[in-house]
Amino acid sequence: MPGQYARHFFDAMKILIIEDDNETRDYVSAGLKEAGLMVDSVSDGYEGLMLAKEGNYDLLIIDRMLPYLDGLTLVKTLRSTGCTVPVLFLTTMCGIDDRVEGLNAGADDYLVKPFAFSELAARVNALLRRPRATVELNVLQIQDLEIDLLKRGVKRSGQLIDLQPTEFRLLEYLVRHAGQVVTRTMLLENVWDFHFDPKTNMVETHISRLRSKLNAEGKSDLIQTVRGAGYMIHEAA
Amino acid sequence: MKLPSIVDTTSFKLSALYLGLFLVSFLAIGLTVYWLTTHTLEQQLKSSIETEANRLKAEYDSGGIAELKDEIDEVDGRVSHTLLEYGVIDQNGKLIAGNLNSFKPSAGWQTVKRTPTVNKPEKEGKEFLYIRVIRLPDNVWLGVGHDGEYIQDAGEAIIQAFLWGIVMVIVLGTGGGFYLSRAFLKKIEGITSSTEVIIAGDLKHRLPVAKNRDELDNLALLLNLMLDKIGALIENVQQVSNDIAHDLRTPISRLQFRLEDAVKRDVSAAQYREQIAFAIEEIDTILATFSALLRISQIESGSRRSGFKTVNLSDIVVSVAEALAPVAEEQGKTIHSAIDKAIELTGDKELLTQLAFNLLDNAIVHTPENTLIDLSLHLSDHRIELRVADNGPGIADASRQKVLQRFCRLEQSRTTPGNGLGLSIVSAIADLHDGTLVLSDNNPGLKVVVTFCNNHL
Repeated sequence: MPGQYARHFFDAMKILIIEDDNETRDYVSAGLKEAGLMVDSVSDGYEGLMLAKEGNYDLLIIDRMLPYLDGLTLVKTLRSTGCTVPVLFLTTMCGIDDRVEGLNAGADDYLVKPFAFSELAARVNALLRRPRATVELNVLQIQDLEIDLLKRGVKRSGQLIDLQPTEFRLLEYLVRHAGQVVTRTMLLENVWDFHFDPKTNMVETHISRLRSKLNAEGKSDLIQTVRGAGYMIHEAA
Repeated sequence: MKLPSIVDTTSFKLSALYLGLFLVSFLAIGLTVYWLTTHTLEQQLKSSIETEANRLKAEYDSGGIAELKDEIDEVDGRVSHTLLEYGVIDQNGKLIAGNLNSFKPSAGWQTVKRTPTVNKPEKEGKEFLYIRVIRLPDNVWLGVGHDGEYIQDAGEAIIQAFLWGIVMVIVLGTGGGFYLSRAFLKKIEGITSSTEVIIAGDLKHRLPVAKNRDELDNLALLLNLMLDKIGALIENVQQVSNDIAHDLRTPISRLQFRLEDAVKRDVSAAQYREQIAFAIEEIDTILATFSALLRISQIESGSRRSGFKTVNLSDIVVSVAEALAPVAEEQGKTIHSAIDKAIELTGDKELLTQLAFNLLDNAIVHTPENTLIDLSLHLSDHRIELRVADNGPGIADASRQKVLQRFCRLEQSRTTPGNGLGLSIVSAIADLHDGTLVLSDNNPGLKVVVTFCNNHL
């Protein structure tokens, strides 16, 4: 399953997993290793904090409930020392306030257990790829697609495409994450700001509309469906 | 639990303190009254004695000792019923005139105690005399005296009255303190025993509240409200566990059958994969139901209220309509929206979004093709009305209330997706925002109206 994430996504990236449940830790660790990442893992919060401070990690995956030092305090402590490493929270606490609490503590993303590995991998990928210093571009370009962020205009092969505001936001998100798998949940959270699971095929419908607008006149399909995971726009054709 | 003895109660200590303060002030008043009375009486007496003495001195001045003697004899004889007494003595204390000789030959005021005289035999014990002594020429001294015992009597009467008063105060004060403390203890005892009953497990039991509410009853009333709230929360938790027991059992056992079946039979790898895919799907459904239930119970607990902010409900409804419009269109349904701009509400953005989403989603999913869905948001008379109405088949009167219950799905076949919790979530969210959720007949179709108070003015 994790094999579908090409190795080059994660070249020589170092990840620290702080998780007290052995099964989850091994499962996540094995999956990420298989995807080409260097993974360290510890089972308690205190040791985790020590390692996170010293080791030069690119991403921390932290469970909320840990022995000796809970995840929330761990992240707060880490952030107070000026450490800016991306943090992904894993938790069984599906409370509606927990997400806000976690993000306020300084976490960058939040994933509720149980989760599909594909969801975790997509989010890890997005966090690793996130530019540390953002250079704001006015125009995004990918393959033969051009998005003018100021004029809110989209062109494919020089031809103007008329998009609804939601479709524009959806496309922008996909393009900004080009080369990465973007899951349905990530789209719901970031494009619509919906933090619940709508049982309808809402995302699919919007994607298919966007697709039909982008792929008019028999052009190649820009948006790839990654089975069982989500969608992706490739950086190069 | 052991109750404190009456003497240890706050009310008893307080009444003892007040009693002490009252006694001190009572004593001070008593002494003042005593002094003022005796002093005034003494002044009055002295001034009348003085007048009489001066009159007699004038007699002497005009007619010498003989005249004075006559006058004294006459006055003594005339006014024997009065308490005035007269006497003239020489320097040796020998009586020259009158019958008062119990004074010393020295000018000024004298007070004298003596045994009763013959003409006042009823007086036992001592007499108390105020005597004004005037020195006359020829070394004789005139003394005019008056019995002052009544002044002492008055003083004693006053002191006695106050002493009795003090006794009464102590008795009543202590008794009252005991009574008050007992009443207080009795009330506390009521609360204590009720609490013990509740601790023992009877969560329906409540603290006693008297009709004439004092502050203790108010406290009990407040505690009862708290118990009501806790009771409701516990009931909620029980409800959730019952729901889980009932509604999750079915899919879990279905999953178990499938997996057992797959293990027993010798099937190909492809078939295994198919069974596993099915199992994962089933688990997803179970987990979704599970988190929906937890979400409902969290919403119902009200803890979310603390994070309420001003939210733009118009924007929320517009974004939900935009998100679902393509879905409706794909299924051959039309959404007609009339959304007033800039309607604000104090609430939870995430939950209000879910409320609007679930309502509109229900209208899309549970109606046939070509249905027209009316979505509107209006503000009128401080009330915000969110309305989702369709012209589909609607819900029969009898079933309309049932759909608000958890896991209620009118379709027995259960072909449409969903877990029967969508409207339960809507109902819980509306409650959290003090809103009402009403389902009614749209003739034809279903009309769902959520009304909020415009708490953001």
